[in-house]
Amino acid sequence: MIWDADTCFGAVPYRRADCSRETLLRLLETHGIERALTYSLTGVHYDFEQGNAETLAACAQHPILLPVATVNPVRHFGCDETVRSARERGFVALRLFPDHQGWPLDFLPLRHLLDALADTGLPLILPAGGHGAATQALRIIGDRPIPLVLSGVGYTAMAEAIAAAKEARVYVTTPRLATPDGLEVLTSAMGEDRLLLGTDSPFSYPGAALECARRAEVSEEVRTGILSGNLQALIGRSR
Amino acid sequence: MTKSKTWRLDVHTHYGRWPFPIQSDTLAAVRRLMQRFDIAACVMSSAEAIVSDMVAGNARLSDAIRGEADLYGYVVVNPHYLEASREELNRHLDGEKFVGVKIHCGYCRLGCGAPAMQALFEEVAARGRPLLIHAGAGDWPALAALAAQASGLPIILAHSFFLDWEVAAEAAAQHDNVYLDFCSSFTPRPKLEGVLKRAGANKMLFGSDLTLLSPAFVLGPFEEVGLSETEKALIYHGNAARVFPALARRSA
Repeated sequence: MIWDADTCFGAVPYRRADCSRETLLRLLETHGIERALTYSLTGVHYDFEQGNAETLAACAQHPILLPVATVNPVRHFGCDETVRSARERGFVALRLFPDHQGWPLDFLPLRHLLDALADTGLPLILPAGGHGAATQALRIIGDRPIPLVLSGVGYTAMAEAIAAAKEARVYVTTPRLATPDGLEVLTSAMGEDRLLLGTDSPFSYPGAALECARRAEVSEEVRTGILSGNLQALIGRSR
Repeated sequence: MTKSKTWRLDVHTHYGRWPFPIQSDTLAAVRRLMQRFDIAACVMSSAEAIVSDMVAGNARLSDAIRGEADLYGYVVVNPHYLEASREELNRHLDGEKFVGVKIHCGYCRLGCGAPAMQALFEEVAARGRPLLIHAGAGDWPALAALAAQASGLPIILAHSFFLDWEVAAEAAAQHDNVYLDFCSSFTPRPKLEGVLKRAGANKMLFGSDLTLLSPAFVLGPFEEVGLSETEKALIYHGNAARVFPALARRSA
């Protein structure tokens, strides 16, 4: 069984890419992915309320997709209501895009949203490919009981992810974990239930992350966790 | 090693430690990765030579691969040190183990159009050994001039210019002596299909970037895009054997 923590669909303004919903669904089917967290790129690049509506509609039509909400704190209007109502509307996580939207993690509008998010119990997905991102994320989350998922972690950010895991319950998605023993190192250093398979479909070839997960020298129990179990447990905890 | 149908020659690998949480960076680890991923031979550049000390790194690589039948080397050169680079080329290309030259524009912090890089290109072109160059799409005009002036010099565009793969695809389509490898922690669709269509399978090389990256990360996309058996044979080892005659012996 394969569950994918990192997919999206929609229009891409900054490079030529086919990220249509149809292409996403085709890739998921081709690779035997049974469930995929997803969000509409409209919410990232244009309007999060419209994007969230598109996300929910797509997921309603295709149960293989699980909806992830987003907000843009720079917009201000609608952010608080969106976060407060996310869980009851069916979203399984909140994902934010400071890297695309140009705002820093140490950002008062974000701090105010985190109290609302903590009340929902939903996990928070933040980009953590750059130095300092995971550190800042933990600092702003503070003592709030928000499970944190670090996306975009590659070899330059692995040490910081490991350190973050010592401080809080932190998860990492795998689309950039490309080192020869990245999954093994993080499993050992962070815990056996912290890695979530993510393919970054349809931007990226799902085969890259999938092949790494399949070939990782970990126990079958750990592999099952990476491929689906850890994400199922995380989402289940939030329901 | 008994070759499977999909055995590989890996033209983009490294020897030495990276400043990241990677434990699979010893020669023993390289051998395990080669075995796990059906890699019959590797051409390696020294991580130390790239990121720190060209001379010391090349020397350490030379010591490491001496007597290792399936490991070959790139001489790393640096445009900031032309005379030393010339000496490195003379020192290491005379033997059989170093079969190519590596330039890393990123760690050198110098573009291909810079006068120092142009001077280095002349030295490299004079030797005629394949050049593996880590550059960006913005470097292509200067590299295009090199490809045209030294038409017998195989030039491998490492990572196919990453996200700017369409520039790399066009480069390989336009120049007989330009080849592409695909290792990267970014795997943007439809890079492989696009290069295949524009430049053809005979311009595509298998390079994993081990010990920095896992061969699995480049293999997964190759296996998912529906390559024919002929295309796989070319990409996985046939083209490398043509570009690196020494590797052709491993094909036997």
